[in-house]
Amino acid sequence: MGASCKVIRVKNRLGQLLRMPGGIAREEAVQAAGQAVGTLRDEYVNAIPGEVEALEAIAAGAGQRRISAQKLQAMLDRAGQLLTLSGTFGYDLLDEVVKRFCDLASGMIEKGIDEAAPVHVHLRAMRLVCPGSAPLDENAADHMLSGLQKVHAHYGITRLVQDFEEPQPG
Amino acid sequence: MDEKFNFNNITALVVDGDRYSTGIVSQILRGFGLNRHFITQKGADAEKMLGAEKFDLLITECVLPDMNAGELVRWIRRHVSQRIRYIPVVMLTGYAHVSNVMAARDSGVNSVVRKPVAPTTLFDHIIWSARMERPFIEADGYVGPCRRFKYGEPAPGLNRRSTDHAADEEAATDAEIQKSEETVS
Repeated sequence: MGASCKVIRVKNRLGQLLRMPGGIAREEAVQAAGQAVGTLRDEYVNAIPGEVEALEAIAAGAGQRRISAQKLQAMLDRAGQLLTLSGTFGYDLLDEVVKRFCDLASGMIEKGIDEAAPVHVHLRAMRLVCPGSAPLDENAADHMLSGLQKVHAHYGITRLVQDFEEPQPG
Repeated sequence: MDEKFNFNNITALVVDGDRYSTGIVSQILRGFGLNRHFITQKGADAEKMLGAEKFDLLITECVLPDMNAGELVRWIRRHVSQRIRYIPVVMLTGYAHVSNVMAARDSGVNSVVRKPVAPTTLFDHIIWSARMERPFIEADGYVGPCRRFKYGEPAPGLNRRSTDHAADEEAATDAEIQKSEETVS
């Protein structure tokens, strides 16, 4: 017996509602949304050091020498919140360091590496570029990122996402 | 004159364990004029809310504290109520979980958006989901919006998948939707 497949024409209710009289143009909507997000800036940026602290607490609970895959996964899940904050509010260097931490944690889980040292190195780097810390000049930032890159190379860690493009609608 | 979109009568559900992300998405939706939106962190709560309230749009993170959102979407796409089954789903994915994009698409979402969510991106994905008169596929291995149907034109080459033969085309009528709503309520 062949596999069955139904193709169903579904009424697009969302489209009908959006087409109702009134409403807002794209540019106006995007601008209003940007302003609304801006009202969260102070509160959310102030939360960033606490999020780094939460990652440090997970790592500290794991001890200085070894870290389990469960702890790494917990840190990876938590790091998403930090990326939301750094990415939304333009902390590019912090964003890059946290992404490199995600690369590291994922790679360690995949390869079964349980050394805690590279994790602590990344946490210290996050502290260095946290809001409120003394800003790093370009050379210092490059030096720090290249140091993290050497750690990754040592453990054979690759980027989690090589060339991640925004998924197109669909 | 710019085309206008009315978000005032839309009810949306946002599901994400990341409280900052839900805060940001909520503000974005308010900026669009979509004030009637509800937020929950867990997939199980989302299932209850979808059964109790009528939603027009679901925005969910791909990894939830209690389940993978793929499970939630599969539950939605196989629901007896057509108003739940056919709800447009926009899935959010963070850097750490970006490898789940393909799995998300396979679970039957309409659209995938990378986090952190930018107003322009979310706007475009919602409008795209709303504009597309995209057929819905109910096959053995997949239930969801047709994945070959992009930018208004189906991709060339019909019947490329093994599940494509024996296809029946039918429309979900208002009466059927009403009936399935009664089944749930």
